[in-house]
Amino acid sequence: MSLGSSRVLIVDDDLDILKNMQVTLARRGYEVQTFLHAEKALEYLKSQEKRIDLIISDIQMPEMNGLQFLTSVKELMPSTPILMMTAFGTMNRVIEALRGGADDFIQKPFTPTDLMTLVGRALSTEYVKDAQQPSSRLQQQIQQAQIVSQSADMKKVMELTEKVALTSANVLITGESGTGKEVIAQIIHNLSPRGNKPLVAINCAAIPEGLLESELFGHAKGSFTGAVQNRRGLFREANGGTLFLDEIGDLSLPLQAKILRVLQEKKVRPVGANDLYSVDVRIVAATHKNLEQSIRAGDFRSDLYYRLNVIPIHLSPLRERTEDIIPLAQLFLNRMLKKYNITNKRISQGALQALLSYSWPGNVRELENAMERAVVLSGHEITRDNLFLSYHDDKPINRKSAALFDLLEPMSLRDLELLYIQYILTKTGGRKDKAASILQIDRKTLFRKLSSYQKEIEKKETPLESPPVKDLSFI
Amino acid sequence: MSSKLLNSIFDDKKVYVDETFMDIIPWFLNNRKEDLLKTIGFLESLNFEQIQRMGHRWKGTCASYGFQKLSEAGEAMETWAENKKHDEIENLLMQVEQYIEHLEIVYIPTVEDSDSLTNTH
Repeated sequence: MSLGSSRVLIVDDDLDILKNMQVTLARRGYEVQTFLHAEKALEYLKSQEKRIDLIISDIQMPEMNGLQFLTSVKELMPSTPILMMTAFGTMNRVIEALRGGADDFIQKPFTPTDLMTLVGRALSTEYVKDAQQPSSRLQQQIQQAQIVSQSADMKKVMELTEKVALTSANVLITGESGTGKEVIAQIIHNLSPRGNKPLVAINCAAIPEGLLESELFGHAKGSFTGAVQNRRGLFREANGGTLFLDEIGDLSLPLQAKILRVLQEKKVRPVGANDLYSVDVRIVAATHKNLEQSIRAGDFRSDLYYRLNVIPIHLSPLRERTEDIIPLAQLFLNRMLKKYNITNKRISQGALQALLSYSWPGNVRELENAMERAVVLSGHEITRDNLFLSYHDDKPINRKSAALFDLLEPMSLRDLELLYIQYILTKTGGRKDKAASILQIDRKTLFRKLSSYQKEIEKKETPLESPPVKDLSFI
Repeated sequence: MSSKLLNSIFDDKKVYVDETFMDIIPWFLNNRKEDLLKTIGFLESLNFEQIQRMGHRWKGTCASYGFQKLSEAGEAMETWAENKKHDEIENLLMQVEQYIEHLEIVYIPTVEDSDSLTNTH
């Protein structure tokens, strides 16, 4: 599609922004129609006076807002790409816009280069082709990455990942360690228009701060002891592609400021160098920390958070998506059997119970490790003991304990007491003194109870006569 | 942001602006002067809500033209208006007025290609 024939319609109640975009696009050969009011823009589109190839709309506008405009446009012209403008204060509308059919986002403030890149991408035929066939590509990625998404939570994550991948927006993935943040980052990159460019990953917590700046921005030869040659740095290595910043919550404030500057200006200056280099990278960041809390504590910059968190994706801990546990265990079992060239091994009922009721503080990674251990150390059948789970006994499910009681078969008071004690131990991270305090019994009493229950559990090894959970028919 | 820090931001009055906007910069700056007059009026009538909105607009708009410091001023304005800091806002408006009056604008070509060496500034 030649630039000369591309028509862009822009809606924003801010005349300064309208003029900025009009001048930028017109200078490069686009025909631009601008509107201060969404209703007028919609009237124009309905009149079909001229073909429109791309629509850009602000989200926050008086009377008809951007999301309402988006819905109307998608009904009228479903195949016309529409970019939404986001700003401070509209971050929480981004997911809504994505679900409403927005194709990409422009984050204010933006440079002419930002705008041209996004517009060019939205109008490219490759982008349009990719946008039309996302689901089959997602399925391929899910298969390759061997992702399990039986739970409602994971289904939502994959649905969001698919939509997010096609945009150029930065993404912040949150979740406990071991939940699969890096896997999701890989899928986002692979499905994106940048999929054939580099994906460069760095764990910000794993590198000493003194070296991290040089890793990210590069350095000039001789700029410090050990700098024996020039180094490009990861921002430049990822140019055109995606930079995955894992454990971004661990960055120091000075380094956060430097990264923010790069995100704002799209330029890097290597350590010890005078020259600036332009970079075009999509940032996917990840953290196990609660960054909003970190901001309140003064440990993380709110302006950097805004730049990174255009689209948030949260991965729930494994204990909150129990439907995924057994399918994951089976997946890892098959993987490990292949790895160790072992055939014909099954998981006992007792082991299945333990898998389901364990709290998995290490999440999917811990499950994978447990299954590998179990495959190596077990006989023809994997039992609970082969799993070597941290506390050697069952732990109740955390968040859904109220609903858990609905799932329970009637049981003795003694069994119920055990279940509740173990639940409290999960809450206290295994600390018996704290658990005893909450239960209002002394530590000795708690210890005696656990010991006596342990003996009973050992007697009742596979198969369990009265499993605590009602329905295991999905196994 | 403290007043002291904000004052130091306006010490350097050189601004590098994309040459794309050369023809409309006078119009843009005139709009900012009108915004300042409106904001003074809002301050006199203690209408902090409108000042907050103005600050929010500046925060999202000014840096798109290359005026990063005006965006920062907008952010400060928004925060102080939220906290009804009359004196800080008044000081800010004076600083911004001075800044706009004595700006030195340097127009630079648009960066089209990535990983290209740019002018050092």
